[in-house]
Amino acid sequence: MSFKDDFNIFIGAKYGIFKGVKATEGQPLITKSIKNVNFLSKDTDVTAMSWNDENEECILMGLSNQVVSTYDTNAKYFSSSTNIQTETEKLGKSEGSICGLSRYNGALVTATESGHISVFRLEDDQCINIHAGGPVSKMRHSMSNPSIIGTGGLENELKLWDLNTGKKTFESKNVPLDFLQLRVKVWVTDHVFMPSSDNVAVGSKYGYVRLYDPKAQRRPVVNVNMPEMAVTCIASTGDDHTVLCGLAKGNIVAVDLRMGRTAQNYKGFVGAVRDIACHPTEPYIVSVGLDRFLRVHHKTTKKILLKEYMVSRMSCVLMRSSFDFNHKVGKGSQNKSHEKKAQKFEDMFDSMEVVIDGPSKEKNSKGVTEVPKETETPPKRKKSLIVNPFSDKKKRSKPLAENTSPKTSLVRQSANSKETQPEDSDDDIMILDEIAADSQQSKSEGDESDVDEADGDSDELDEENDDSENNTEVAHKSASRKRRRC
Amino acid sequence: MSKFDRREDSPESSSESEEEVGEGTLVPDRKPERISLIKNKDVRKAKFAKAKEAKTRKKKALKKKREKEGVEKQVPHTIESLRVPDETTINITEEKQLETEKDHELDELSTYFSREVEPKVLITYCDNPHKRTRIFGRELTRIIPNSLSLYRNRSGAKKIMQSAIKEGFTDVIIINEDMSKPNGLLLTHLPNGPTAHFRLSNVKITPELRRNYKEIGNCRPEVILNNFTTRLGLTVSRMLASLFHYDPEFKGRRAVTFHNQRDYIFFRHHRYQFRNEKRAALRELGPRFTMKLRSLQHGLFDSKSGEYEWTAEGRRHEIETSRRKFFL
Repeated sequence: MSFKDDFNIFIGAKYGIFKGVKATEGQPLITKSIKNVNFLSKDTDVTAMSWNDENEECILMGLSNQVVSTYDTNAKYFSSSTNIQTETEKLGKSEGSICGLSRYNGALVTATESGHISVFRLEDDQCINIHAGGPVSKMRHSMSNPSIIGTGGLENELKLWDLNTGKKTFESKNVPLDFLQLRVKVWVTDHVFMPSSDNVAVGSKYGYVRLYDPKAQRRPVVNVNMPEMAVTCIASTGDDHTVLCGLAKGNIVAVDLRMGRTAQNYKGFVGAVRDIACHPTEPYIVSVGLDRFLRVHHKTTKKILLKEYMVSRMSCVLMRSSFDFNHKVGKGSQNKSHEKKAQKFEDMFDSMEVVIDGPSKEKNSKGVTEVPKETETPPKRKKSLIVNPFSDKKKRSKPLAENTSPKTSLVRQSANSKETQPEDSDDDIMILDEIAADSQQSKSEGDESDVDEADGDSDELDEENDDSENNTEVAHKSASRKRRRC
Repeated sequence: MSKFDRREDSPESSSESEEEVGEGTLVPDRKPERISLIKNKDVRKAKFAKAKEAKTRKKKALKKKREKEGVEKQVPHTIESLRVPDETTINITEEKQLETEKDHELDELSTYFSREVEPKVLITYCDNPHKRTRIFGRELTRIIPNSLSLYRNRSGAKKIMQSAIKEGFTDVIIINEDMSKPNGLLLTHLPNGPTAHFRLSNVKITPELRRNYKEIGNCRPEVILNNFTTRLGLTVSRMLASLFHYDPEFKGRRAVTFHNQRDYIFFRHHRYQFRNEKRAALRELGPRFTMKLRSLQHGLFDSKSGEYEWTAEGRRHEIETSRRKFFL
C-alpha cells in the first residue's frame, strides 16, 4: 500500500483547488496542488468530498457546477468526471452546488443545494430521485446503517431517507414555541450521525445543537442553545455523546450532549471553520476554513499541533483513517509492553479475593449485603480503581465487540492512556502496589480524592455508558452529580 | 560640606574626593565643574552653548570621516523593521505566488480588476447622522468618482445591500458615528462580498483643515496603496482600490493615499504639482482619517450568521502575541 504513504490529508478549496498534504510531526510538511492551477475557474468550487471506497483509494469531489470528479490516489490522476444535473418533470431541475456526495453499494449518491437527491446506478431504471422538500445544506450517511441518509437546510428540518426504497423514514419536528409564543427559526447547516447509534446531531447557524433520536420521538431529545455561535460544520469525535462544532466566527467547540453544554474550546482561528475531520481513534482534529489555514489540534490537550498557510479559502478536508500525526517507528513495541503490563495487573486483580473484615467473613453474595457501613470502603475503592483502563476488564470487552480488529482497539486504549494521562496512570499503578501489599489498610483521604479527581470524568462516562443512553433524565442526573462533586 | 556633597554627584567625582570628605580635609578640586551647577545663569548659558557646539562639531567630523571611509549608513531599528514575519506574506514562494495570482483572477473583486464593471459607490450613514458625519460623507462623494450620498431612512443594512445590487451599485459604504464623530466604516463589495468593517478615528473634515471642499476637483484621482503585504492586507487594499475608477485622470493632479503603517490605514488626499524634475509640491485637500480593520466577512453583511475570513473580535489577546505582529 505505497499510495497510502503519500498524502494523508486532502483539501478542497475555492475555484476547484485540490491539494494533498502529508503531515507528520517532526518532518517538514509537504503540500502539493494536485489539480493544475491553470485549470481553475469561478464555478468549480469544491463543495463536497468523500472517499469512493472503504479502501480509501479514490476520492469523489463534488463541485459547485454539479460535476463529480473522481481522483485516483493510487494512480494519481483524475479518472472520471460526470455531470450529475438532473431534470425531471416531477421534481424539476437540480440547482446549486453539490452539498453531499457518497458511494453506496456501487451507486453514486448526490445531493444539491436545491434539495434534489439522486442515486445513480448503471441501469437507468434503478436510479432514484428524491426531493428533500426545501434547500439542503448537507447530506450525510449514517455510520451504523449506510442505507440511511440525512438531509437538512434552511427552514428544512432534518429528514432521514432510506436509499433502498427512496422513502422518508424520519422527519424531525421543530421545538415548541418560545416564551413569546413565536416559532423558533430552523436552519440545519450540518448534521452528523452518531457512530454507534441511529441518533443524529444537528448544528445550526442560528446557534443551537440538537440531538434527534429517530426511534424515540420527532422532537429533539437534547437541545443545546449556544447564542451568538453560528455553527457551520459539525463532526463526530468517535464517541456517542460529544460532537465538534465549527463556528462562523472561528473556533471549534466540543458540545457534550449529555451535559447539554459546551465542553472544550479549540482556539487559534481567525476566520470561519468550514470543515472538520476528526480521527475516530487517534486524538487529532483537522480543520480548514476561510482564514486559509490548515490546523491540526490535539483532541484532549487542545494544543495546535500544526498550522499551515494554504493560500486559498478551503471548504473541505478529507483525512485518511491511517492518519497518525505523531507517527514513530518504535511506537508499536512500546504499546505492546504497555499491554503486557496491563494484562499483568488485570490477572493480579482477578486472582485477588474481595476482603471483608467485620463479623461475617463469608465470601458470597450474601456476605456483601450484610457488611456494615464502615467496612464498605475497600470494595468501593476498588470500584474507583476499576476505571483504570489497565485493570478494567468488563468495559474493555465492549469496544472489543464493536471494533472489527481487537488489536487496534487495545492499542488505542493503551496509547490513549499513555499519551493523555501519563501521570494519572502512574498514580494508579502506585496505588495498586499498595493494595497488593496490604489491601485492608485504609488509606488517607487525600490519596483517595486524588484518584477520584484523576479518574472522575472517565468514571462518569463509563457508568453512563452502561445506562440507557441519550436519555435526558440521565443527563440531568449526571449534571447534578457533578455539581455535588464540586 | 555642602560643596563636597554637590561634587559627589558629578560624574567626575572620584573615590579620592570621597576619602577626603571622610578625613575632613578641605582641598577643593577645581578641575572640571558641571555646567549645570554654575549659579550664574549667563555664564551657565554661554558655557553650555559652547559645550554643545563642540559636541556637534565632533559628531560632524566623525560623520565626515565615516563618509570618507565609505562606511555604510546604519538603518535604525523600528517596530516595523523588526516586524514578526507573517507566513501569509505575498511573494514567499513561486508556487504560492502563482496560486495567489490565480485567486486574484477569480475572486469576487476580479470583475473590477478585469475592467468588466465600472465602480458605482453608495455612501450612507447611521440613523440621524450629525453635521460632521454628513459633511464627511459628502466630502467622500467628492473624492470617490461616481458615488452618491444618501440618507438611510431607517433602512436595514441587509436591505440597503439588496436594493443597491438592484440599482447597479458595486460598493456600499456605511459610516457610523458616536458622540457626533464618525467612528466606524462598513465597506461592502457587491454583489457577493466581501465586507470589511473598519474603525474610524481622527477624522478631520476640510473646514477643520482650513480648506474648502470646492478645491476638490471633478477629475478622477490616482490611488496610492502603500505597504499592504500580507494576504489579508492585499484583500483589503484591493477592496479599497475597487472604490475608485481604474482610469485616473492625470489632468486633475489629485492623489488619494491609503498608507498602511502598523495595521493602521492612513487616508490622505493631495493635489500635486511638479516644481522641477526632482521635486513635487503637495497640497493637502482633505479630509483626513485613519482606519483600522476590525473584521473581514465572506459574503454580504451578516453579523449573526455570516462567515468571517478574519476577525479579531474576542481574541485580541490570542492573536496579538507580540507588539511587532501585524496583520495587514
